[in-house]
Amino acid sequence: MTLSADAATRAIRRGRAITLVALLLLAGLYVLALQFTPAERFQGLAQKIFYVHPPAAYAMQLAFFLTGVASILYLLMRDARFDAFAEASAEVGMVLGGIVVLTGPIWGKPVWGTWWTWDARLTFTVIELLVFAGYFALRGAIRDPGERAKFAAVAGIMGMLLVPFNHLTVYLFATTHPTPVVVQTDRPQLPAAMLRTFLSGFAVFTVCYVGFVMQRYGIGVRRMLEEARDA
Amino acid sequence: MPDNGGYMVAAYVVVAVVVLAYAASLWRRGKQPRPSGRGDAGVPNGPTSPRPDGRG
Repeated sequence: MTLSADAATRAIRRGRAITLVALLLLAGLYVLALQFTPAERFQGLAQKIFYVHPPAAYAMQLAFFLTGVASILYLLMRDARFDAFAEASAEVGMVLGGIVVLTGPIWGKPVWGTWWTWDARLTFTVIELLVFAGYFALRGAIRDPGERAKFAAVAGIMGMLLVPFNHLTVYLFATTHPTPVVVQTDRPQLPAAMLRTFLSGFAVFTVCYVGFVMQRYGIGVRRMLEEARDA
Repeated sequence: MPDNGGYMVAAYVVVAVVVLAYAASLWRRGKQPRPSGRGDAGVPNGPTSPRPDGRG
C-alpha cells in the first residue's frame, strides 16, 4: 500500500482551492446564461436549463467512466490509490447524477408536458445510478479492505460499461430525449451565443468534478489509513 | 414565447443547492481529524484523578 496522510491532506487542500474556483465559475455561468444568452423562441426561458443539464450529465458520465478506468487499474496493479480514486469518482458521479435527474424533469414538464416518461435515455440513466448505488451498497457490506476494493472494482467496471450504451440510447431507440445538438458530423446547430454558454457549462462542470474528486480522494485515503491503523 | 421562467429558476436553484451542499459536506469531512480519546470534548490530557468510589 502506498497511501500517505500528507498526500491526502495535499489533495484535500488543492481540491478545496479548485472547488472554490469552480463555485465562482458556476456563478459566472449563471450570469452568462441568464443575462447574456438569448432565450429560445419556442421553448422560452425553460430552454436555459440546457446550460446546466447536459453539462452535468456529461460530468456524471465522465465520473462513472473514470471510476471504471481506476477500477481496471486497481485490479491490474492492486494499488489502493486507484480504489480510493474510483470510490471518489463514483460518489461525485452520483451527486452529478442527482442534478441530472432533478433538472431533467423540471425541463421535461414545460417542454414535453410531463415530468417523467419511461424513455430509453431516462430509464437507462436511472439504471446507471442504481448500479452505482449498488456499488456503494457493496462497499458498505464488505469489511476486509482488500476484498472490498476487489469486488467494488468489478462493480465499477460494470457501471463503466453502461456509459457508452447510455450515450447510444438516443440513436438505438425511438426516444423523446433529443440527440446531441453540438457533437455532430456537420457543424453544431446552435447560434454562437448559445454555443459559447453551453461549452462554458461543460468547462465549469469539469472543474467542479476535478475539485470535488480531489477532496473526496483525500478523504478516502485518510479513511483507509485510519482503517489500516485500527486493524 | 411561452411563460415558463419559473421552471428555469427552479432548475438553477436545484443545481446551486446540490453543488453547495456537496461542497459543504466535503469541506466538513475534509477537516483535519482531531486527536481521539483524551483531549477531546473538555477531557483533560493529564492523568485522570481516582474515582471517588475508589474503584480506580
